[in-house]
Amino acid sequence: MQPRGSVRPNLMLGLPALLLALAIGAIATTWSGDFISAGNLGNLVNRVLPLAIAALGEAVVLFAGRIDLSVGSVISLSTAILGVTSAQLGWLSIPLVILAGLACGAFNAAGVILLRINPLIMTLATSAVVKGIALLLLPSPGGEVDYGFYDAFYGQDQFFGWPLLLIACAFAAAFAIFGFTHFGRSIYALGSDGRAAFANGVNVPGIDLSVFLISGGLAAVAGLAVGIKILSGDPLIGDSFTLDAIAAAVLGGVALQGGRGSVFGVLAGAIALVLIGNAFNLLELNTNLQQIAKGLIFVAALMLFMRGRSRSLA
Amino acid sequence: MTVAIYLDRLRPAGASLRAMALLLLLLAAFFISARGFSSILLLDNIRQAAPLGVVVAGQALVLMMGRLDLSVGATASMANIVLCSIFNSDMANLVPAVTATLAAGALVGLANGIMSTKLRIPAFLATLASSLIIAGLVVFFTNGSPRGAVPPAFRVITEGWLFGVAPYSALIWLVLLVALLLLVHFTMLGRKMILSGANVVAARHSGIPSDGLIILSFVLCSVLASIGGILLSAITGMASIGVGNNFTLDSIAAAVIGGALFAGGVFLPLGAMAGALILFFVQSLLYVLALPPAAKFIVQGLIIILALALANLKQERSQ
Repeated sequence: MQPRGSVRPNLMLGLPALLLALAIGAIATTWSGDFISAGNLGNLVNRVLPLAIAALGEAVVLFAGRIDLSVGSVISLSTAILGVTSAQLGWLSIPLVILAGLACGAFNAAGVILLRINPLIMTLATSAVVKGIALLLLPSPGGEVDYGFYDAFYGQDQFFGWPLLLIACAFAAAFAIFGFTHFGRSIYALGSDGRAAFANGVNVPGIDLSVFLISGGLAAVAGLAVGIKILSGDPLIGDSFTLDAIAAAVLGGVALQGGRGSVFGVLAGAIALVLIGNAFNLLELNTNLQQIAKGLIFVAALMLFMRGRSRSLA
Repeated sequence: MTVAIYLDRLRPAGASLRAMALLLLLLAAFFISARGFSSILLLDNIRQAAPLGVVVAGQALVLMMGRLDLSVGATASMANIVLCSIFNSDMANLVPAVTATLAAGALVGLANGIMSTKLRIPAFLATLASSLIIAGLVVFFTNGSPRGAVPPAFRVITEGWLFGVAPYSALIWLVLLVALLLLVHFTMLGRKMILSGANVVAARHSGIPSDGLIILSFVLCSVLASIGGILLSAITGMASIGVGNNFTLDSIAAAVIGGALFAGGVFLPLGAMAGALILFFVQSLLYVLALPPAAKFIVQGLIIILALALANLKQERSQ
């Protein structure tokens, strides 16, 4: 058993996901010449972006031994706010969306810290509330997002563009925080053993607040990426993201009990999940079969990574 | 002597009584606004709350084992599709339709139980994944446009009243609740289940097969969710996709109002009943106030938070 929370062995945790991603990529390349084309690679980066950012936020919460089931609803709310306000507010709607995401995170943190509600249930309840607010703002998919946003951010869907830079910056920053800062170590410490962390002076409520704020804020960024991509708001589009974000983290070797996992593993997990979806599309698999397959893959991933750890999580 | 012990077990817990008190307050407000008490109106509301009530009983059972089932909504929706497609508006198909629906439910529960025990997947994730798989299977097999309906004669289970005084669906709900009460609090199996839920390590050391009991609770929960789906189908009369999806959060909210604890070890049938009715009345109130459907989600979430916050507050006081 490697020491929990140490940086170097953690890099290995993402290895299975990385190999999986490479294997799917190799199979897809031999099977279809389109896979490695510039167009598809740019498209892949654009699809990895929201999932990778949302999964990073989820992973930060998981590192601390908590869980956030409201990621999907926050993404829906973000696209709804963007769709409703961007026509009037222009660029100002972007900070507004991020503020809303942070507010959702603060709401989660308030329930967990002040009311001492189990994070699983608190974030489940928050996800219902946030979904309701999104539906109030925008009862059905619609609204409109300025095409200028799309043009400025996604451009010509090329491989080297803002989306790739955003992914690189987010994960480099997260790597620096979790590898080299006291704050990052405190998050791992809380996830490994809450009592020991508290006894050693870790500010437990402060860490709880930070991880939920980070998760809410990153989910809002993911929501922005989705909203700008589809050029409208959709109050239900985020629903599948909660499970996908957790799945990406688990595939990337993050332990659901907390204290273990690497940010690059999460990135590899997100890439692997998107590649699986992309391969399904290239194989022209029915969308519903894709959903079933995704569920089965998730179960398989959990099965492989939960082996030997029996602490039950509700 | 023995009789006294058994009677003692029938005494409702404090949490159940608090839920009942809240229900009575809500009913008082309801009948004051309706200008006068009417037992018919009350029974009619109970009749409509029965599908949710049955699902809540199952959720409460899984919560007792310290687990959470996020697939009850998908299971109830699946039950609606399976029931309607096999029934095909012909009462002659009664036995195969109901049997197949309950068997499909049991299968879901078995899968959930095995995933959360033998495969050691946290229950909420296992059931979240299975709800995704079930919903995908339903849309795949129906191509998105389900066919079939329940025959009018079958709808008597929710539309009919026994001797004109008691709705059948309320009676079905009551019978299931009493059966669960007897199972959990008056049989050896039930006592073992409670112990496994309260302290799984102690239960294992006492030689109790906890894994099997947890699987049993998931199977019962999914079968109850299917029964909830059958009752709902009798109300709506036809097959439609995702008809029971709201049951997932509704059942958790109602169980929590009824005093269920996420830590496990508590099963309060009376509380589960009161919780389901409270949630039903609150939701009818939203409907009467003509609030948009989205308000339902907000209220659902806030109710869960409020109920748990109050339970935590009470626990801290008593310590």
